[in-house]
Amino acid sequence: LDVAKATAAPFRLNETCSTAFRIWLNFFSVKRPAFPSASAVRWGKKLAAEVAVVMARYPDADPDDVRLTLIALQSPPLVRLNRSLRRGRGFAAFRK
Amino acid sequence: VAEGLPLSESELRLLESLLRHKIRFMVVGLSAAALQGAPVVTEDIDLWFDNLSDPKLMQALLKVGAAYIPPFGYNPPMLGGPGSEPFGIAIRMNGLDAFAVEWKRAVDVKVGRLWLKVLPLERVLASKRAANRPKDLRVIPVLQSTLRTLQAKSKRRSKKAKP
Repeated sequence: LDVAKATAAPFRLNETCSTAFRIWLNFFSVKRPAFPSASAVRWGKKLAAEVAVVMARYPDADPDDVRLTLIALQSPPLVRLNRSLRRGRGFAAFRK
Repeated sequence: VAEGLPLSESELRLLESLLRHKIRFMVVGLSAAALQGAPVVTEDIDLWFDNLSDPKLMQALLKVGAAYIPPFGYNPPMLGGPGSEPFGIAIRMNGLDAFAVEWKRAVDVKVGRLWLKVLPLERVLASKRAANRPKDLRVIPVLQSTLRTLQAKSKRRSKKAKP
């Protein structure tokens, strides 16, 4: 029995597997631009400030509804309506 | 406008035909609320017509291959044919004044390339309160908060506009 060959073969196989895995990973990895975290945080802070303004004026309003309204107002009316219809029909499908 | 969305090109063509034929109608209900920013969900777009027996209405629908289906048994009046699928016809608006009065109060909202008359949020709220069905009562707090948000925004805008 050639001990060197017997032990080296699985090792080589492992090495080949790991290389192949790395190539596979590289092949499928998509180069995404870095998440614009700074601008997202800025947007979130601005939104929170707007919610605070509404809540200061109308403490009876629901802050979640106010926030969602302010977000909805950032889209054009057609987008808002289509979003509302798609979600409404989605819920209806669950009900049936 | 991408096809496959509830309100896509064929639906907009139907609305455009109604506008071209000078049919007096407005968007009411939760679709009207959604158009004005309310975070609500709905299954159809309710249209309130001034006169359902107007011959021009039939012409406008025929132009796009659609048709008016009169009430039959449990069926309310409906629109049928291409582009009519998301639309419902409102036959009774609880808690509102006559069409002509509400028409004057209606707000103009740009939906895609069309300017549609839309029942103001305050009036949607009034109609939901008057309808008083469980599903109407559920959305009242959301509509109230939306109204508050719009009021606060318009006050801020008018303050900024003042020198």
